[in-house]
Amino acid sequence: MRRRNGQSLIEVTVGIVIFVPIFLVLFDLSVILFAVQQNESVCRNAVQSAASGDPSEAKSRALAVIEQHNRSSHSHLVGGYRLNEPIEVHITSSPVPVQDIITENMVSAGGPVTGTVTASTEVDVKPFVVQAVYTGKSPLTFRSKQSFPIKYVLAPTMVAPRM
Amino acid sequence: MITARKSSGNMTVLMSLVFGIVVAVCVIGLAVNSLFFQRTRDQHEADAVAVTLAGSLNAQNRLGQFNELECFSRELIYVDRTQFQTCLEREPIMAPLANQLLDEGRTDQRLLENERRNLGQVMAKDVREFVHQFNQQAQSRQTMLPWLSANNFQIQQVKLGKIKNVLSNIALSDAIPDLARFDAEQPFVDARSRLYKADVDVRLPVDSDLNFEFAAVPACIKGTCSPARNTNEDVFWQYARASAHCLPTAVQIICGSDVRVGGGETSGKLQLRSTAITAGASASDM
Repeated sequence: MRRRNGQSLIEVTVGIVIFVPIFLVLFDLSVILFAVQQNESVCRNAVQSAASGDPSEAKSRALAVIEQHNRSSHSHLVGGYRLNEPIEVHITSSPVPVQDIITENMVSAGGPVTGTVTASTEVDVKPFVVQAVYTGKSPLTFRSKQSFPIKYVLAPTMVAPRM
Repeated sequence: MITARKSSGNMTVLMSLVFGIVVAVCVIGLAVNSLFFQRTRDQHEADAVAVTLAGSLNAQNRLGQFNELECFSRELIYVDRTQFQTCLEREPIMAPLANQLLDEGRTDQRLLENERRNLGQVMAKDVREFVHQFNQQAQSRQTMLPWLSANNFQIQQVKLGKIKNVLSNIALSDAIPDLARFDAEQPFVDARSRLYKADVDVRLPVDSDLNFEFAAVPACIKGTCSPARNTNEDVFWQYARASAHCLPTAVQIICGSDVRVGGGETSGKLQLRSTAITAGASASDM
């Protein structure tokens, strides 16, 4: 008569051998999904911040947002988020300074600056298994690119005295 | 006759079952996560569209300038009326000339009112064209998973109005003390900021047949002008179609995507809304 002692043990062992890699892949995919979505979120926040204010300082505002996010969330699997330079600032209209006929100074009546800011961010992910199937390279790099309209109004100012 | 139950393969079945459940949970989780992710992306896009639309309402500070024109016209008529009455009392020979100036001021105010309606129509037309253009460009683009897709992101509805409790960009001026005193006594001006309230008919004491209203454009305070920005939807106040004389300073858009499950027909709508206020006036009286 054939002995059945240990048959369950063999079944469980075979099951574990098959399922553990699958679970690892699932875990890897979850980490990648999380990183991609976080990267999108960071990029969105960065571009919204970059678009809110003087367009010439868009980069510093975006960097501040990314730096703050990197400080608050850092793990070994998901590397730091970083800004891809340059930030694209496309201004479609802005107030034009004119000469004041009385004082002869160049003055700007002020007004809204319109256009868009486009920023791109990257994140590195170091998965266990997936990179071997995917590209063979580690870490995997994911990129997000977002645009937002510029939110800035120039106050009326004196630009420069006439030479 | 009782036979022994076969136990071979029990663990295999059990593990397969557990595996199946885990995979099913993962797939459902992925689908739900993708749906929320897509919704966040769409919300970002809707916010961007709302800010662009709101910004276009006060392009080149036209609303701020219109409020100033309205204010100047009001002061002019008040001064003309005062001078006409003074002439009647003291210099009757000058009364016809003063009357002519008063008539001109009143005629100009009627022209300004017509221009207000015209500006309102131009703004509504600009919004319609923007929406038409956006909807044409945004046909089919978003896909989340092979069996779950959301596409055809379109603007379904645009509401024009203002943000509650936003005053106008016109400050109470002491240049004409009698008028300033009259305005301060009426519920025209916010006591703390001394800014005129928006969408209130600031009628003159004598020429009360003329209509004067200021749009709800945020004022430029101490060199800081508020930009176009997203706001809470609860503070949005939609203008009725009948009040065409009110110039809108905020928009609320309702966007939606068609969600398809299993590659079939449209299963539902992913709907969201976004509200934005236009840029404030750039010229400052404060």
